[in-house]
Amino acid sequence: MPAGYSGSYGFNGTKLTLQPSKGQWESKDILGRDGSGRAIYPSMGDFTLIWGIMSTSEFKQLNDYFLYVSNTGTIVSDLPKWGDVDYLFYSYSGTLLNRPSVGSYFSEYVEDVRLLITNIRVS
Amino acid sequence: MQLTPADLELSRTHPQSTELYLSIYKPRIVMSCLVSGSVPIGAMEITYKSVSTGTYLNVEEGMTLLAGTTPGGREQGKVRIRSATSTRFNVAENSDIDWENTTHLSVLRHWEIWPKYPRIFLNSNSVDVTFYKDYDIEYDAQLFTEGQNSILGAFPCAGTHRAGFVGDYLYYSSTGTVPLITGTTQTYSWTFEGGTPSTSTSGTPGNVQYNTAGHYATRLIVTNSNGATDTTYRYVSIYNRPGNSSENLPIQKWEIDTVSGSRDEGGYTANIKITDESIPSINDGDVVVIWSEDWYGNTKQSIGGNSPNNSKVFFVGHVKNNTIRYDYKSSVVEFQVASVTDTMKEAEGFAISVESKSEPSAWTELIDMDARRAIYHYLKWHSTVLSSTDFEFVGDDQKVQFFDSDRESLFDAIDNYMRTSLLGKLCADRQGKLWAEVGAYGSTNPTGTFPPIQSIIKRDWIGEPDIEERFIKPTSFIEMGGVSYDGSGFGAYLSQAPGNAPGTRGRVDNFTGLTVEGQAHLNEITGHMFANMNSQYPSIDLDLAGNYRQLDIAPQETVRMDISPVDTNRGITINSPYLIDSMTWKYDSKNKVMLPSAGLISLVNGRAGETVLIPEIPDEGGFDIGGGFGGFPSFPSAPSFPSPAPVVVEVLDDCNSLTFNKFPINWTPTLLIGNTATRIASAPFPCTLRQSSPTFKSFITLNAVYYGDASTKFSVFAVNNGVRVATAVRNNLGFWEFNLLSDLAVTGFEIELESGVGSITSGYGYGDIIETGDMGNNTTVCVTGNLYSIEAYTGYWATPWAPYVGQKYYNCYTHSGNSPANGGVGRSGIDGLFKLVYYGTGEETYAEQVDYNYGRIYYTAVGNTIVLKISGPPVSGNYYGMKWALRNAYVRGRMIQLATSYISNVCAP
Repeated sequence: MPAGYSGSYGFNGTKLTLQPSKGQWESKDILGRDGSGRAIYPSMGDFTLIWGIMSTSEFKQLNDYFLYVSNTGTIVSDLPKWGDVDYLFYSYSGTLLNRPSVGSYFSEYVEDVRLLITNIRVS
Repeated sequence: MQLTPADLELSRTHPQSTELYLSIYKPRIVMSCLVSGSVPIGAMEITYKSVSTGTYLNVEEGMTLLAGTTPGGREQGKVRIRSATSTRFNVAENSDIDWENTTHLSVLRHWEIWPKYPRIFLNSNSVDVTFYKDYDIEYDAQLFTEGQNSILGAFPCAGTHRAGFVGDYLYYSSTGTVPLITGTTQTYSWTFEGGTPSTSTSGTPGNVQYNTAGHYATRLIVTNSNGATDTTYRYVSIYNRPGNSSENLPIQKWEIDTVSGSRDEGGYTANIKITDESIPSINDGDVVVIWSEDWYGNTKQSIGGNSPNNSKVFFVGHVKNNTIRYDYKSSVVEFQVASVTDTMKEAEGFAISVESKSEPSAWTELIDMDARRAIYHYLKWHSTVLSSTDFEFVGDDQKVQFFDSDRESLFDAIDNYMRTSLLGKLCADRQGKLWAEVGAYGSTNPTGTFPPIQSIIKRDWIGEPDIEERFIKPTSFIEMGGVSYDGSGFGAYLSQAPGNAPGTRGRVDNFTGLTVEGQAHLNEITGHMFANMNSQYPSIDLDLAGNYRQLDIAPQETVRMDISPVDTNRGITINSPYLIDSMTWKYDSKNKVMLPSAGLISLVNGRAGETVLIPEIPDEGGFDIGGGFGGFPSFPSAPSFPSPAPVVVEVLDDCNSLTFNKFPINWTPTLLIGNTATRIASAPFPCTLRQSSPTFKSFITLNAVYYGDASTKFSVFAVNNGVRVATAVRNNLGFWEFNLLSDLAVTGFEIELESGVGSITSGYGYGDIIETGDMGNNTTVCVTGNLYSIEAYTGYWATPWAPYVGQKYYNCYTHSGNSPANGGVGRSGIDGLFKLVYYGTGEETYAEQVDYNYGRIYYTAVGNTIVLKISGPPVSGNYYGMKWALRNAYVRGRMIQLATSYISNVCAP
């Protein structure tokens, strides 16, 4: 593990068994520009976890987890810290899971599974 | 609210986020039972049986009694409880509940807003009446040492309704509780249900911690040193924080689009949609609290709100009646929430009247009444508003002799009084506090009384402000009337702005019934009102770049708008205070961002208005009809008027060709005779009224016959295509003067009999000026036409009509003979300044010097030409180079006819 690298994707303190193949912070539209022309950004960020392929049973686990937490409120998400100099994971509380999206089936697997995490306070 | 510099800077810190939480207060049922026996509709004593929950000892005055077919049901109605015993409830007057044996009764720990009805009882002698409040409360002049209307307490303030999470500290203070009787002191008794500590006797208990989820009520009793007590309740809802528990959570899935409020509406409204799988029970009138957790950058803090240290409470309102909509298909419930003022609008109160007395002895008398005491009396004895809401009166209070309210809503009773008497209004702030405020325009120094709480600069707004600009002033003239009262006598005052002369365009407005200190006070507010009605940039709407929760529609506050030319495409410069008139917060739940839009209106100070003298009413109303008259006289038949002969205006060859605005000459007036059934006489009389000067005004004189009593009142208006564009004011000489800032083209006049009975038989007027230019020695003015008589005014004419070394006019001397040949025969002035003579072939009736300003020649011939000749002043001395004018000349006939229509031009000297 290189210097400045630590952590794994996880929810409510539990490391995801199947780590996503990619993860990315989503760009956010500006709320507007003030009279000086400066952009006004929201403080909430969105992060997408992407799995290139996973089994249908793994997808079911993911979807069940979403259904479970969606009724109980917010979760703590372990994600790469926004705007940090190192690739360090940080526990963001109060985040919300969106229903996972899924791509096409490939044999017994599903491709391009995406899980959007919102309500992430990044500043 | 004014922020500290640090908080102001924090409020401008980005990025910002706001997490909103929704709470609907669920009052606890403290007693359940059944109706016992036969209870008729309208009964106020409800006997009960089969108590299943609680006891009558849990029941407090003002709680809500529900009647339904099932336990907790309310479909049969609800009513306010006045007291409870072991066998019955004493409830407020009601007439809509069908009490049935075994009807389920539930007592809610909820103090709703109700009107309280007075009762007037005709005594056994069938003459006297006894007044009661709330059905059976008699006036007791010896209640303590004095009666209820002498021992006034205070508006009890306990802050906003509250909501929070388990473990939160909620702050309490009695800020705003001000005694109505100066010099009295207060003691406080707090009970914090569910809180720690559970009681306090401090005026500012501070933080109270809540460690158990639930819905609670906090009670504050304020006891005045004179014995008066005032009690108020605040609701507290405590929830488990999401993630910490799965029970007693605030409503999880809900949406709110906007929370918008305006001073004109008197408060805020919002639409809420709940999408929870389990739809909570929601009822009309439920108290809704939306509270928040806010971040400014990395700082977690909430800003704003008028309730001290309760900035987290973003909005408090009540579920509006008949707005709850269930969609069972999609499992969604929607409803509207509005400020307490909206609830007050739906509570219909009874008409009351009280009079100021130094020693009240009845319900109809109130000790040394002022606006604040009048409102306190109304709210305390005719409503339950003060039981659950903070109230504060702001502004210069005035003594008042009478307070009357119609049968109207609780809101209108206060709001109408504030509007009409003090140019103010009643408005609820975002957190639900009621503010009765003297209007900013009603202040003697608006900009000084309302200093800006902060500047709004370009970093504070998004995009570009929407600035309204007036190119034409919409108001030309206002007249305001008010009454002062010092506890023993009253004075009546009138004031006008901008002065005697109305503005060029715009409507004429008037405000009457104001409560003022005196004439100077009325003049001040008249000037401020006029200035603000005509301000150049009257309003600015802008979207703000942060949540700016320090801004609210109440109490009245200003911000300083700082707009430089480069800030807008229009290059406008504004650096002046603006009142916050409306606020709309939009909530972006995805981004957790709350961005408001603000509607601002300008606030400027104006030049004081001018006093309008109110004519004294002579003895017996000024109408001595004599002769032991026992009835009203019949009106005399209207005389017939000859149609005016056509007038031929001759242009004399040797005259200059000056052009004048002229009154036309043909007018057959519609007679105004009779009573108010025939109240308007119109006069198609197109002409141009000339701009007024300090010494000149167009006027109309009415040959009026007034019948009736002192209520007989005429008004005179100039109209333009049916629209009244100027109002004449009757001066001390009986002329109806138009005060105009510039020339005003009109199509006619209207004379209105506003009240009483009267008759107008004829009238005349004048309005033009003929300038003769530098006269040197002699200037001749040619007047031709079909003349009855002529009056000529002469005077010094400068540009404009500025006084010259304190003198405006010089003597005018009228010709006393009839000598058309020499044209110069006439009396010369004392100083030989000028002469006024005429040429003509008719007979001069008489000539007179009326005063220093003008002379008159009454000329009786018809069909002649008159040439008035003015011999000007010497060409040396103080008067060299001055302009002299035949200032006004008008022909006096039986109709309104203006001489200037005959004056075709000015002859060369």
